[in-house]
Amino acid sequence: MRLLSSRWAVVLFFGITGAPIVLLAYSSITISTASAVTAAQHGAADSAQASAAFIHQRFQDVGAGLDAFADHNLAPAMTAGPAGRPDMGSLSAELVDLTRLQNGVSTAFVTDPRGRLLTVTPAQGDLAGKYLTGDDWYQGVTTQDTPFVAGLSATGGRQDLNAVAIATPIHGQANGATVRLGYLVGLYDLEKIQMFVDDFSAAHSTNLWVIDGAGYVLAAPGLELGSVTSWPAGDQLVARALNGHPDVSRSMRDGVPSLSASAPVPGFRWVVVADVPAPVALQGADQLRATVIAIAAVLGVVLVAGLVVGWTLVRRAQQAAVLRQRMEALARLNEAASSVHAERGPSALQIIAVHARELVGADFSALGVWDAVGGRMAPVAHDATTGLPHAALDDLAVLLVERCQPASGAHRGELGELGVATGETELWEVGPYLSVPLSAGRRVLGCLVVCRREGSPRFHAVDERQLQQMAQHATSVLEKSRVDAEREAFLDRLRETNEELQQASRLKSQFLARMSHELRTPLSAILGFSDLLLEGASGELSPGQREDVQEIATAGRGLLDVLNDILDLSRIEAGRMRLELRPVRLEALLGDVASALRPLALSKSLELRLAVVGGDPPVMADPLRIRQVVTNLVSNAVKFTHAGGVIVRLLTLSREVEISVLDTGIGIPQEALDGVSDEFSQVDGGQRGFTGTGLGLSIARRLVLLHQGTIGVESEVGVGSRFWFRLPVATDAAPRQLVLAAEEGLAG
Amino acid sequence: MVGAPISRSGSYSSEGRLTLQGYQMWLDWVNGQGGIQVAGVRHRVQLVSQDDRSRPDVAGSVAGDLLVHTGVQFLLGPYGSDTSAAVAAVAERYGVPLVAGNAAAQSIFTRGYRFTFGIASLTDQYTVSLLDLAVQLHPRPQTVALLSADDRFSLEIAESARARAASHGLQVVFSQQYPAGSTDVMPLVARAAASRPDIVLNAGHVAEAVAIHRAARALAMDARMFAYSVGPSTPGFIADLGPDADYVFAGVQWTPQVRYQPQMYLTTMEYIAAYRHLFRTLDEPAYQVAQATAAGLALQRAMENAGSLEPQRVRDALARLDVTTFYGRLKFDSRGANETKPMVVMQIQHSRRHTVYPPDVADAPPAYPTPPWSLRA
Repeated sequence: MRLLSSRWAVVLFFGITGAPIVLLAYSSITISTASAVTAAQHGAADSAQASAAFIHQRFQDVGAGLDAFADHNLAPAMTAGPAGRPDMGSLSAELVDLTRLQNGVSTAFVTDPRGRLLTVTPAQGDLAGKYLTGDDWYQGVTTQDTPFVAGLSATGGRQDLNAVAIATPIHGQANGATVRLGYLVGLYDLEKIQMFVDDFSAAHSTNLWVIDGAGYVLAAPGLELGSVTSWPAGDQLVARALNGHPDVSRSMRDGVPSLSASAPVPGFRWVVVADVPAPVALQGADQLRATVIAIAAVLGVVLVAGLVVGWTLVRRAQQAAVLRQRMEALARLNEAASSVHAERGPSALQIIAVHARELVGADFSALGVWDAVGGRMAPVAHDATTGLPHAALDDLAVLLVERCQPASGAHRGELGELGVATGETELWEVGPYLSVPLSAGRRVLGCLVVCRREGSPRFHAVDERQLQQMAQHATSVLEKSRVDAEREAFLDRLRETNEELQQASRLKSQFLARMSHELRTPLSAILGFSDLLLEGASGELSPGQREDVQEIATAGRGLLDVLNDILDLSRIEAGRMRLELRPVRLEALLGDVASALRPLALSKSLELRLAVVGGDPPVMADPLRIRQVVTNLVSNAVKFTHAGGVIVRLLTLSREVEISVLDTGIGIPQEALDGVSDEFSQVDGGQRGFTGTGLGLSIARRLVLLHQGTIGVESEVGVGSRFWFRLPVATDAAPRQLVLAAEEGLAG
Repeated sequence: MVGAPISRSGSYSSEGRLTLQGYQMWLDWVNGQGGIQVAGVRHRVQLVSQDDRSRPDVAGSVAGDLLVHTGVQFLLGPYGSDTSAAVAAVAERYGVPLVAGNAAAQSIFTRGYRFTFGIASLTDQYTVSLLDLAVQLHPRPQTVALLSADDRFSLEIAESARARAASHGLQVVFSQQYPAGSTDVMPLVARAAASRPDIVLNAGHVAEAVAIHRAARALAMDARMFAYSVGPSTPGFIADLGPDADYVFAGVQWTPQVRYQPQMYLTTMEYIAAYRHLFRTLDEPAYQVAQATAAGLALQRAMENAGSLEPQRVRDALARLDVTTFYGRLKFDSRGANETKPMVVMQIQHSRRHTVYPPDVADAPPAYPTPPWSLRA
């Protein structure tokens, strides 16, 4: 709208200021051109008439000269011969005189009254006795009986293209009456006319053409004498002049526009055409035009420059105002946004409703949320100016938000039929309204509606943009609420599952402990009676029986170990493992273990030795459990070593003591190191040909961790392994009991 | 390349010059257009001419020489019936189209030639228009004195005049041949005058015509109409006779006054202006010039229609040709003669030539009857 009016302002400006300039310039040019044309045509007409008069006078003079000569000099000779016939000698002599005296006449001849040639000067023998009655001069002079000027024409069958014939009758007296004795013809040299034309053209910048009645050009600027050039047939300029009417016209002459005028040569059927080339005629007008155009151009430039400057200033002011408005709106939006971000949930939505209303200067705002179950928009917040009855606001909010449909975009318009009573007779009716959807992607979450009282100004696009920004805030609030709710629900489910799992684990451990205990009781009986049998309490056994019972005892003890391991593990998991911690020096303990397992090692031809490096400070430990750990590690080392040996090393560090079991065994692949201490786990699932439950290392790990120690392994396949654990050096001597459930992993 | 035997010397030299002018008029125009357009290609025309010395035997050998040694593809005819006849025989022998502009003898077109086409009306037409006009005049002439030179051309004309007069009911009260080129015709005219004919009709040439007319004046032989097959249209006729030449009638092939509606080339007015400009003359083109130009036009249009330069196809196109030019309609009959164009009748009035018949191309009414010599200046 503003742009449109600006355009019209420009048009108006140029209309008011430019039109007079253009009009002035145009009329100046037109008037000057027209007057120049008129002047040129007058000039051409004057030239044509003056030239025609000159030529007329010239031929008049020649004609008069010939006429006088004919009557005075030739008439006597025409009858001086025998029997009143022409005296050829006298005639010839007279003609020679004539051509000498009469300027421009180089050839002359005399005929009898019937047109028969009598004599010619210079002599042309083959013409003698010929009739020249077909010649133009004869046809003319016999008609008018006065000097006649012919055009370009043949004479006596001969063509002299450089001359025109001027004929006059020769009068004489016979029997007291005037009779025609014959005709005198002089051929007048056209070069004389051509010279006049050339001189005139040069002097007056006006081209002259002399044309005879047959349309032949007798003289013209630059005409080559002797050529036969015809004037264009049907040219009205010449045709009218031949009929005695001078004329003016515009024409093209050799491709140059010209202003032309024609004039008849009085007394002859000749015409003079004068041409003023338009560039010459309009020279003054062209100069004036150039000046006018230059002035108009300068004025135009000044106008345009003024307009540009003014326009720029107005534009800048407009842009500044727009910028200010945008800054204010931005500030309001920022304020609203920070308010919203400080709040959550319904209070944030309420703040949005308040800011939305204030932002666009509405009387009422409502924020609706899409109720997918109910299939309708439900108001969740609204705000109103003072003056609206509080009781009616909820209803108004419902009415407004229900008009928003989930799939629709922004709407602006008027609502006439909605209203709320503000008094017994007064009704507050909704007028302009604006609604924008709250949408996340394709989902419509709700809507934000504002309205004004009927009769208020409508909402504009800028209001819509601002409300849409508020709608985005509302959308993010709603989205955040939704995400929060989903996270809470997830955490609740997680807690429940965790509790269930813990309960299951406890039950499992209890089961295992109970079951192990129950299994150990009959196993004790098996082992006990097996020993009794072996000791020969029931009599000496045969070698075969002894071997069988020995098998039973061995298997039973293996089973007992397994049961003990399971029991230990379940105890640990159930958090019922009790450690009797006290300061212990480990060298003796390690020596005991090595001694106990050395027979096993020797049975595989392996060396098993103990190395102590850096002393033997006491560590806080349960010796029973540490022995169990070390025994497990060493027996594992022996089990997985086929050649070489096993070293148990005690290394004292600054605050810890490290016990390492190094072997030259098969080693553990890198990828299997992490799972090596898992329960019931053997590398390759036990396929490498080694027996065992896989519980030992797991128990060892848990026991070390219960001691606040760390445990780890390094290994290389085919080279060997080093299992190690570290225990803190004892700081106080007091023994204590510790019951802990370790959950940490084996350090790599 | 077009070849033409032209009489540059001998008795036909002046007519030969006019014939060459006519061909040059055509050449100037057609080459100014870029040449003849044949099947989309423009061919410039080159005219090769050789002097035939006004002799039929030379004309024939010149034509053969042009065809064999110069390589011309088409022939345009020389001036004259006898020379043209010789060229026609050569053209026929070589199968090359010949358009003869200035040959009126019927004998050329009665030999069954297939390659020769004539522009001019034939001798049998020369006096037809004259006698047709005569019987429409008042008082209607009744009798004819028929004078004839004894050359083939004149005899053919006289014969056709006799036939035409008979068909119009005109009585031939005097008929006499004389040796061609005779100027001592006083006794002949005196005998003719004795028969008191309404029409004096001479079939001959310029010299005889002037001589007969001078004799008629000298003998004060009055007739209502003096008509000459050839003569009055030549420039010298008026110069020789002056006012006595007035009232004389002649049948002519073409006059500069005729106004046809041309389908190609120029109008008559344009033709005259172009002629004067090209040859720097005030003369109007003689009919020999116009006929030569028309011959060129006929050949050109035939080539265009044929879409080929092949002689046989051009010949066929000539046979089918039908086009109106400034000269009149060009349409050849089975003999190759242009029978559709009428002869026009001219008359000298006040030492100026005027076309008086047929009315559609006339520029003046006929002056008739011729006043008696006693009343003339």
